[in-house]
Amino acid sequence: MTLLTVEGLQLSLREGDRFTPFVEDVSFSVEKGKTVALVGESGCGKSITCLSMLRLLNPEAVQISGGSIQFEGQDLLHLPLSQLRHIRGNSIGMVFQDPLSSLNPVFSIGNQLVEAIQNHRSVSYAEAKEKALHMLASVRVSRPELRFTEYPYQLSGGMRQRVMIAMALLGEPKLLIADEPTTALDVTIQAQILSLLIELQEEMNLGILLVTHDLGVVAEFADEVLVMHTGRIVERAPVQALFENPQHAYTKKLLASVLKLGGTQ
Amino acid sequence: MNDTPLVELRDVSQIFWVEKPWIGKAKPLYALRNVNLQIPKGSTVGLVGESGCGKSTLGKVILQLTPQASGSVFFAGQDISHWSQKKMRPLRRHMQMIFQDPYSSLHPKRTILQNLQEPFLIHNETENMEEKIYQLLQDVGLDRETLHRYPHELSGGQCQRVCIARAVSLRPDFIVADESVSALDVSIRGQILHLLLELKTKYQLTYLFISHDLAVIEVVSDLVAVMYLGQIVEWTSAKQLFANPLHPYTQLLLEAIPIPIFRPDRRKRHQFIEAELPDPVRMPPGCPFAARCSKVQPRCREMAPTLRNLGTSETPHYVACHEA
Repeated sequence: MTLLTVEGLQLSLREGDRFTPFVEDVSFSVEKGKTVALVGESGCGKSITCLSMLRLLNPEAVQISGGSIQFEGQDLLHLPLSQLRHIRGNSIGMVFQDPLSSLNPVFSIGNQLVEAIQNHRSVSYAEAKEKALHMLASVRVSRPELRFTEYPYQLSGGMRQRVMIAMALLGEPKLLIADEPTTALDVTIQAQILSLLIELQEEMNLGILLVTHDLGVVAEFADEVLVMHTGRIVERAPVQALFENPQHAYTKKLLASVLKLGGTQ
Repeated sequence: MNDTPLVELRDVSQIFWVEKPWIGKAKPLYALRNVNLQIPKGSTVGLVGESGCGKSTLGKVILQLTPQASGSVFFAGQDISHWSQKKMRPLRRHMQMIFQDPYSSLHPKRTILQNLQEPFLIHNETENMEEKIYQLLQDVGLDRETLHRYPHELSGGQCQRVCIARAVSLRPDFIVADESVSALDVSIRGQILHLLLELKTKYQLTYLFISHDLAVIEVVSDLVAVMYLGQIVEWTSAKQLFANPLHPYTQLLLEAIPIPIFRPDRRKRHQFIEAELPDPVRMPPGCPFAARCSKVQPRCREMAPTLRNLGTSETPHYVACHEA
């Protein structure tokens, strides 16, 4: 079943008092239980495309100037903010790259999780706490009761990212948008987080839109790949086809530039 | 190759005092624990490990930017471990550092020209400065127009080229490259690595290449040291390390790297022991890697292994593991 359909999306950036398009003609869809990866170099427009899905852009600087974004039949671009807010964090969860700056340093982990739950549902503190502890346990956070009382600085990078994933999954979303979720982490921790995401995806039948620049992560995790270059999707293919038979010159260049272990220069 | 290594560390430890309670003493955190390392002249030594394992601390101790707690550091045969800042100053031009973030290593309110003049002015070498700077720019593949720009006007790759130019401007012997390509895009990363290797031959440099990325380390290094929580756990030639990694930690690092090739069994779960790193302030006795090791034995939790040579005397392969 298709969760998210994006068609002909165009984003424009403010230059002086005019808006010029810099992301153009982006079309893709995310199915239930599948992972779509959006890859490209920094500055190609990956993250901003992601943010536009939930209209998290500053309208003073960037405007969605064309196209449509449909989520389960709802037109996200024309939804009133009050209804959109219900979708954010409920049906669509989001995980960002830097887990430290995504968490509030002066509130405990538990406090932030409970706040996220109570924002979306009218439940008592005790119920919210139980839910939060359950979520921490399901993202394999060790000793959830202890972590619940701790502050972000007391957690390692991998733990913080687990907390962010827990927070994104609190509303039991159908779609998870993950913007470079493992880029700030060590390879060993990255492997743990990726296998966690794969497990959760199977458990909850999550659709995942994964933004990354790491083609290794794409090869291990994605079902479909979108290659983005200067604001346009230059290639869209199932993962196996992309790695075995890349069509676009840019994709070939990107694949060739990856340093491979065991390969000579 | 000369027999005396350009840089040598003997039993170097670095301690940071942390978690000072209201009353009483702070606790020691061993950022480096009895590190022995030799960097032969003209070689590239790769230093690899997870964040927080002490890689950068080691780089800074070699350059004496932070003095070590114990042990000695030799540079070109001289023991520099207790030199004063003043005595160090003339030596500084022979040892340079290239950092991870090129933007924050350049002065944001000075042009590239002013940034590049700085080392010459500090060391009083203003003769033919302009020409030398032009030559440097050519060496790192930038054009002269760049000189009148500010760091924020350049791309990350260009900025890193400026930092490299500045580091080699006084013809140093030794360069510590601390995660110098980690912040760059894959396509730029290859170019910068290529440039560093080119300059190495041109200026006869010796590198200590610090990175968490084993693929980068493999491309540039002659010798590799793998670090874990302040200790070197494996130390051998790059060829040997990648062909035949002996320490379980090195094996774990190699397995964890996602490979950019499609494989049908790709979603097969990584068989990792999901243990966290031990708290470096409260290190358990025995091997520091015991909590995450797949080959752990009872003796690993009692006695810490020391580095021993499992290779030959010509191609040594040092490993700190009881089970290797």
